[in-house]
Amino acid sequence: MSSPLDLYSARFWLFVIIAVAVLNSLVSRSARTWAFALMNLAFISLYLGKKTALLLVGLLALMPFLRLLRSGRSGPACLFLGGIGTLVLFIFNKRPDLFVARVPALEHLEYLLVTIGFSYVALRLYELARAVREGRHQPPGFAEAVNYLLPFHMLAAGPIQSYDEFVAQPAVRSPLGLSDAMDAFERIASGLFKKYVLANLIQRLLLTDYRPTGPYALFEAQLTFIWLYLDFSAYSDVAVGIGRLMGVATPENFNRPYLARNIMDFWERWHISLSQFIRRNIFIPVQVALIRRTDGQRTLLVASLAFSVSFLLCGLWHQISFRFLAWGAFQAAGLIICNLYRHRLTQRLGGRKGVNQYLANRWIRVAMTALTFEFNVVAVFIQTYPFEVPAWIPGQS
Amino acid sequence: MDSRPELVTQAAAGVPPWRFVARGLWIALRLIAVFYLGQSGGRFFYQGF
Repeated sequence: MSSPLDLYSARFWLFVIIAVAVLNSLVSRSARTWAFALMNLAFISLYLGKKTALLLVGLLALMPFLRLLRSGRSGPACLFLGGIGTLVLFIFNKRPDLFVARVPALEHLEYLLVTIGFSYVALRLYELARAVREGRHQPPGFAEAVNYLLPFHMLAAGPIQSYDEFVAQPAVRSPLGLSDAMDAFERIASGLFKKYVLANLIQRLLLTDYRPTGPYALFEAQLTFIWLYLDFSAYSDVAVGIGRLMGVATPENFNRPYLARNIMDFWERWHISLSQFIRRNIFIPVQVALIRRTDGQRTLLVASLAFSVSFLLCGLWHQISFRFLAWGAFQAAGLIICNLYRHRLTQRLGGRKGVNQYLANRWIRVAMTALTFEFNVVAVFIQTYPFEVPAWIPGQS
Repeated sequence: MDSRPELVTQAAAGVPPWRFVARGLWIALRLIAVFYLGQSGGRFFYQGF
């Protein structure tokens, strides 16, 4: 039986049809909220079975915890403990074997803990706790919490919606018109075509896990990056299309990343919801803390440190392994060099106007775009090449 | 009275109905390709993140 998260699963599409029909037939906000929450829980139950009851207990326990955070009586220790708890669940999601080897009884709860610690859910949980703790929003009701943390159409591969955006969506959607529905179908068809035809053909016909060496390995590295885009962005296309049909705000995750002129621009176009999460929750807090410590001096050094922390953590979020730590370090190095280069360029060309004129040159634009593409080919190569890693390096998979 | 208000609106906005139909066919064509060429599962790099 296929996983309900598999877009090729008939159960997934049956679920979508029911969700679209139900949500479009309801007008009041509370009815829509509860209907969507029940559908999200029903979808999760396809995955968890009877253990869904334990998930419900966990969600119910989350409600008083969020109210405690909001009350201001919790103190930093409460947030710290919540953060540690989320982190442990997240690590459990990545490496359940580490935990089950020590406590065999956890094997019975493995599916449940993996679901809660699932990368996208863990990030949403953190985002929600932070928004409530900082007083930006009231603690959500049970149904709203379910809809924010476990939206079935965004579980497979995001996007990671910010809690601010979730709260800001209109209370009542405008009726689904034929033109809107057509746009949504187009998006879904485009996503499915990208994943199951284009990416699938590239994978089956051209990707070899780098078996041949020489020029083909170079060609395969380029293709792997293209394949990754087709496969990953397809999930976002499908999620955005389904979100439009249901009237559930679903953020865009890609914006023609191959046109990026530098690595900073790339991260504003690729996995946008993740890079915005990193900016909100890691980069800016680290940068602000360091600027305070250095009295506003050494801004370039501060930005470089903030990039390093952000992308090393981003690497580990992808996978707890040396490979992804190296990937994070590579991305951080690219961003630091890009930032330093931009600073030097601004100084040399006499300000932003001079830089804009310089960057408007067609040949420079083409060269920068090609360089950014190749940088990312190397990054994907680090992610995917079957390196022989020495046994003394921990956390390989 | 036309029972297809969206088509009428689109036509009034300068979008000919045949383009709307062509778009529908293009969507259907891609879905047929997915059905015949696609296969469940496959390698998905970001699965489980």
